[in-house]
Amino acid sequence: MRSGCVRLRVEGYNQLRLLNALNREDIAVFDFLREKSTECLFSVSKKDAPKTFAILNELCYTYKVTGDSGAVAFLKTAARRSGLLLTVVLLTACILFLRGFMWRVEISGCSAVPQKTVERVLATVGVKTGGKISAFDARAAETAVRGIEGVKLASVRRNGTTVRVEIFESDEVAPPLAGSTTDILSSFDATVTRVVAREGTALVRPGQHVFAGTPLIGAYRQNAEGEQIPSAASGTVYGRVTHTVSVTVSQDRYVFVPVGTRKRTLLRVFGLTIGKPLQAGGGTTVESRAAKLNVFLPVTVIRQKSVAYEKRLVHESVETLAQKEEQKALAEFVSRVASTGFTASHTVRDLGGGQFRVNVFIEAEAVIGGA
Amino acid sequence: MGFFKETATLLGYDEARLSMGYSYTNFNGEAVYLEGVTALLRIGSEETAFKLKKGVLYVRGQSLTVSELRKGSALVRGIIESVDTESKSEKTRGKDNA
Repeated sequence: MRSGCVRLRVEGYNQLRLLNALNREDIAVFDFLREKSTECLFSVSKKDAPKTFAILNELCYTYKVTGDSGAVAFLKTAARRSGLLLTVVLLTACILFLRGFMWRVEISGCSAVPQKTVERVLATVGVKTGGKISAFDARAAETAVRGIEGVKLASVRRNGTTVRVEIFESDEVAPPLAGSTTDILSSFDATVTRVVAREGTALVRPGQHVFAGTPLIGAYRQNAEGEQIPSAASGTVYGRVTHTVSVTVSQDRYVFVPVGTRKRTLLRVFGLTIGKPLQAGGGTTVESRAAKLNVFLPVTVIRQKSVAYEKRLVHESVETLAQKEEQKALAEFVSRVASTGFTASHTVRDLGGGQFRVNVFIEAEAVIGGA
Repeated sequence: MGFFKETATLLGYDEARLSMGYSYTNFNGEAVYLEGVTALLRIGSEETAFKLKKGVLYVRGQSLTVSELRKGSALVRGIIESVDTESKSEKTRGKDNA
């Protein structure tokens, strides 16, 4: 309907007479619609409505106002839906109000540092569930978290009402050097290369061959008279260590190769799971991760990923296998023994039936006693 | 120069004669705006007739509605097939005589 107009339904014959009467009085008529021979609809502007009603009464037409427009009409319609409007207004106000608070604090990267410690420290700078966003200061939070023992770096970011804290922990620091009240013994069979005795008395010389368990630094010192006075033994002895690994390998072997991936998202509401979960078995593994959707709603989102594997026969050359075993033995040796300047080699012996014996020889300078 | 004055000059007419007569503009066959009408004589979905100072103006087409009616002007909407001053019966009589 046109704005600022009144829609009328008029009953009566001779509609032309009415229209011409309105026309003579300079009343504009809009959207004339003849519904029946005795009924028609038309609109007049609100300012002409009283004059129109007078003319209709004078000409003895029956009429009814069917529609209204403008601010008053809008308010009348709104009043009929006052409950709905009030609910919308209240909900909008609630949402706007709640957006001013932090509702989720996600902390990642914690393994050695307890998450509770990080949460406690964040709470001291106002970063906590239910805290005001106006009080959020990313720099202050990062500084506070970096002050935690064991934390090297920290990043604090806010995304809406969620605060994300990423922590990078310090590398393990070796404990401070402490003296031993007993002799420092060799951990390996080795040929001594260097002796660094900070306290106590060095019992071996470079070039000397020692066995595992041989004392390297004695927990005593000798005075001018040659008497042994007990003291702590502290220092590091380096030696050339040999490590040997023998492994039997086969050129043909079966490996499991991933051939397909499927993802599925499920919802759990009040303990009931909505959606069909993926099934494991028959060469398929399923990995699931669950996370709460929202602080307020009792809804958990479960994300599943299933990977189907196929067993395939793989044939590798002997040399490739030998190289792989050498790398594996070297990695295991280096991770176990702090060493420098290592050399590695291997030999292969055919055992028949597709089987081979791979012997790996590793030689390195390593710490054989002390720290 | 005003529209009527300019047109009157082009046509060699008196401006008053032009502005006090009737005129209409057909918009794409979808609506026709009429000026110079004094009264409504007939309303129908296929023919609507308006009284002029001298004569009658007929608007013919389909699904015709009077969208606006003011003193001296009117807007008719629908599928406008023709606007002329001859009635159907006069047209038919003319054809028969021919």
